[in-house]
Amino acid sequence: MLKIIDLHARVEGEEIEILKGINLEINKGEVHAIMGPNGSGKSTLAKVIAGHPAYEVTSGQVLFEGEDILEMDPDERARLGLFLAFQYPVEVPGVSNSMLIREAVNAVRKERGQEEFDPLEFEDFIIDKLKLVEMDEKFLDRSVNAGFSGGEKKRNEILQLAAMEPRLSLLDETDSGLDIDALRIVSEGINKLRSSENSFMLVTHYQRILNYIKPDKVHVLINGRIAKSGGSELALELEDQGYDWLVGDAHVNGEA
Amino acid sequence: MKEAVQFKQSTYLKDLHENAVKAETGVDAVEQARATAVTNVDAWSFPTPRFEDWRQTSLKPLYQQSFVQAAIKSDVSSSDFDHIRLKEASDATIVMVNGKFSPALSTVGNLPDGCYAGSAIDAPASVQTALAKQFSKVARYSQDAFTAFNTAILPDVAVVYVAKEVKIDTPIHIINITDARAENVYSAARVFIYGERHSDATIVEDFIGLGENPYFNTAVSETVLEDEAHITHVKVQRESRKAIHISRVASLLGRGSNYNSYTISIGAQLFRNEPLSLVDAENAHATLDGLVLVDGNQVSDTHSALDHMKANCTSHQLHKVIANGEGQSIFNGKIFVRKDSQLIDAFQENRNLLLSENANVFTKPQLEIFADDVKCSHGATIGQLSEEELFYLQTRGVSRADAVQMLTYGYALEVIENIPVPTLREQLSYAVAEFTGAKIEAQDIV
Amino acid sequence: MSRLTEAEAVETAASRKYKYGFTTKMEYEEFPRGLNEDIIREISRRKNEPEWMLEFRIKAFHHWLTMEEPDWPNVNYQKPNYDDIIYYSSPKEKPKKESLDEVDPEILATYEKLGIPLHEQKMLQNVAVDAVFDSVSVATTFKKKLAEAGVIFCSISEAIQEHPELVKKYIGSVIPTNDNFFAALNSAVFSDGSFCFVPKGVKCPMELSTYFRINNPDSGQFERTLIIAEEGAEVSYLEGCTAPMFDTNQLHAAVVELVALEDADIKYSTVQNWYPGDENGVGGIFNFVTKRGICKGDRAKISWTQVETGSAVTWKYPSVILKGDNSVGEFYSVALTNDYQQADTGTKMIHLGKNTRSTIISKGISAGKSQNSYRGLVKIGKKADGSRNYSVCDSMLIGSECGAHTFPFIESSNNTSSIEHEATTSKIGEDQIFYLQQRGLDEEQAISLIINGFCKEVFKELPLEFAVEATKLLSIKLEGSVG
Repeated sequence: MLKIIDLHARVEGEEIEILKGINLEINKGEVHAIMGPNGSGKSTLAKVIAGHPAYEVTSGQVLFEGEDILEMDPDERARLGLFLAFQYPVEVPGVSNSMLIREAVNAVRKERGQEEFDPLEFEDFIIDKLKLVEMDEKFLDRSVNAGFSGGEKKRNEILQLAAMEPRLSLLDETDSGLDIDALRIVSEGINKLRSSENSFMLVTHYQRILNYIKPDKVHVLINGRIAKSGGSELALELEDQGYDWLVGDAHVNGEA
Repeated sequence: MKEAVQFKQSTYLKDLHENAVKAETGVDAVEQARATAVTNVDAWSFPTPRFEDWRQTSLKPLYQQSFVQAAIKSDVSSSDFDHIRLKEASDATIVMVNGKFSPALSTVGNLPDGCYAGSAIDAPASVQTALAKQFSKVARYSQDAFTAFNTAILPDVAVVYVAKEVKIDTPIHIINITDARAENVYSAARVFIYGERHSDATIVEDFIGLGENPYFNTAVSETVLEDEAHITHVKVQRESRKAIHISRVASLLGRGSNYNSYTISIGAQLFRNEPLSLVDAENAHATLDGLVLVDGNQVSDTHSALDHMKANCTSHQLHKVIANGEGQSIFNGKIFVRKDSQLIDAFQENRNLLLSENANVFTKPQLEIFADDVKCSHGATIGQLSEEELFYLQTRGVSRADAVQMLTYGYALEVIENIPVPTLREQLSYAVAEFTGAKIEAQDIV
Repeated sequence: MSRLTEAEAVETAASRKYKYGFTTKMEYEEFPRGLNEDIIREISRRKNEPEWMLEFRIKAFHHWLTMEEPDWPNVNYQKPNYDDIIYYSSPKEKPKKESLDEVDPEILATYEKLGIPLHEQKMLQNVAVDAVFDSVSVATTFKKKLAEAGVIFCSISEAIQEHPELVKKYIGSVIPTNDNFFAALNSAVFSDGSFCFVPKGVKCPMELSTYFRINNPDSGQFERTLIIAEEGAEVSYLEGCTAPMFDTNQLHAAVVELVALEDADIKYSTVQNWYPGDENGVGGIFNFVTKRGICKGDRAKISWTQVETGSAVTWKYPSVILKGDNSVGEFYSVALTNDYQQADTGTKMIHLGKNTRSTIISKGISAGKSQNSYRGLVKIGKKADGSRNYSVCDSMLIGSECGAHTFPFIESSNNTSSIEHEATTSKIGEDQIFYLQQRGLDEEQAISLIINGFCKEVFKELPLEFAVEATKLLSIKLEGSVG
């Protein structure tokens, strides 16, 4: 599904690299968690994969379904089935949520050679998805994320994920700022969307969300490199011991 | 002494100038500026309501009266201004009488090395160099007859010079006194403030008048901030109710510098103030706050311009007005963001409180933006105290009249509370209380 | 429903060119260039006008001679040579049309191309159209149905003939002949325009609409519109404008007067898409328009909505004089400038009556090398107790070579009234575009969505058909200007 080979990246126009050689492979049907302390490059990794214009890839490859996507615009990547749930979902005043989601879903459907929804068909389609994240229909008529609470924004991201049916979803700290009920709703939503056909990359600081969403693999990112990879038990280890014990390892790996 | 003559409106300033005794400071930079100003004397067109920037403000009180040049010699004594002395500045008080430095009344103690506060005439060589470089360059007078007039007739310049990497902890107080006890006079007050790299100082420029006669005071101050300098400049206009005070407060900001300016307008029958801030380097910040109190038939007019000439800067302008009686306030605030001045964050707000039936407020906040990646906003309101707040206070047993006074007082304090000189805050708090009629106790003072 | 139309609009934003830029081959009846009293007398004679109308024109002309073209707007242009303009131009084959069958088929074809079918059977439901071609009204539809309701909707020339008492009473009553340079010029030479009278208590049964079209390269267009709503009457009026592409500038100096008596309600919407000139700033219309309404009676309401996307230079301040107590004035505006366009537009709200209310929502979008200014006046008079104004002016910049300017004039002499004005300037956020791209929309679609969101508060004031057209227009205008 996703294969990242020796990826280096920095903020456009700056010297210092944030990603210093990432290697990662996510197979169809797998859920990977990317963990790490603040500033380790977790969110950058998600944004670079999605094609955020603020970052510049200095070397390496990102293959999605075997195809190098680094030269593609963000919307092309999205239409291929790559979805980023934002850590800070952006407010778009005046643009209604339903309009955005309909445009998004139709863009993807068009790409896949499916018939685009007319507004009535879309209405039926989206109401079904709303239940998944326990959102009221009123959400559809509000401006995208404008005036939403933190929890509502995150649920809205999952609603969009559900609607666009991506092949690979990158969840950038979707758990941060959620109270326990919202976390449960969001996690259950994601679990329902999991299948043998799609994959997830969960970027998170804490192990908490992994109590709800069981990852196949856990990677620890420290200082722009993957310092350690393991099974879901690694997350528990991190919860107990923090990241400090890995900082030295990352250094060693980097030197190697 | 010359007789007061009634002059024609169109050539008013020119005629005043020609009737003035020629001043001479002996300071090269000042005399050069004076010579330039005088060469354009014919171009000093006296503003009329046809001038876009003078549409709302009539200069009739000026040109329909006659004035004579204020004498350089004066018998002003310390008791004439004791009430406005600032405790914090007991060692750094410069007194200018009718525009001229008074060594007898001034008290300037030891300032840190390289710093200077006093008359331009006595200033050391380093200060003369700064004057030569920037004097009269910041307050441009090509478009402004009053600044040119001030430059042409000024008898002296009050200078504050802060040396590199020096922080002067106590404020410097410049007291400008116009002596109108004997007759109608005009005079010119001039201030030059220079902060070297990484310097830090607070300067309070104060204006009072003596006597019952009308007088016409032009005041020009220039503040130059080198890189990373922090200068706070407070202008307190508490002239007599007979004064016509026309002023320019100009500043030039260097890279990473921080200029905080507060103008408090309390006195004068007609006050026209033109703050001009040139933010001509990156990462600088300018604050141009103002508080205007007008009642009776007072007119207070602020025409400010804040020019973002370089990228990555911020500015803040809060201009608050309380108009009572038949008082009139005019605010015209321009913010320019030049082409390529990206990532500017500029905020401007003008709030006006109309307390009486006959008060009048005009406001024109303006944004002129030529760069796309900026965050600029302005707001203006004209209104009354919130009924909700008044009601709330009344339910707590406060009479409506008292509630109005308390809220008005609180409204004014938003500007005063940022002034970093406690004694001045106290004086101004009492002045506001007197204006609003609020009864305040010591603990109410900000 | 509106969601669908917005989406459609985004998709149909196909052609980048000014699609209304064709010319219609017509034979013209023209006057010699330039202006003098004889020309004015001749215009008046041709139109068989009564003596008072001629006097009105002559008086205006004498005012005009003493006036100077204003230079305070924030626009730069080569001032027109007023001696080189043709002040009267009308398609030949006249003088009077009883039905559409008599209108020159070329003209009908032109309006078809513009998407304004004049044939009633093809018409949008419930919109009556008056079409002004160059200076002359060529067709008014649905006249009969309107007449049954008591509504008079015809060209102003016809109104001068048929209803002189009404025209005489109201023309120049809101905008005096000496109001400003362009209004004076218009008052002297106006050739035609629309007239609408809605009598007491009548709710106009359909939307009224005028389409203006300049076709002749050398003629100025000086139309005059007068709308009167008597006590309790209601009317909604739409105005659309297009012009062919010429590499010279054409002058459009219109005057629109609205009179709302007690409890009357007038809604006036404009989608202005005059030819803006090419991408190098050559050609385009000078759009110098005076529009003003008066809420004469208590509880009257006047609402202006405008979408300004065309013209090389625009100078326009639709205003409301709030004279009646409890009267209401509104101004909703989207002004988009691209390439070398310049717009200086806004409104005036003059509060005279007690408890009067006004709302101003202005959205300016600047792209290319254009300059876009909001200029507004809110004035609360001494006797306007309890009055309120609320203004919002937002500007959006696209690209680093354009400018956005805000010049609000605000004045109050009443201590029981309040004014609130706020303005912001921002750019389309990179984060917003990325977010929408991440949802699969391409950059153009993303920008289009954001712009429509930015303008939403104004678009929702437009009648549906106009809202769709406005959305399409903005998309077309902005294509290629981002990135």
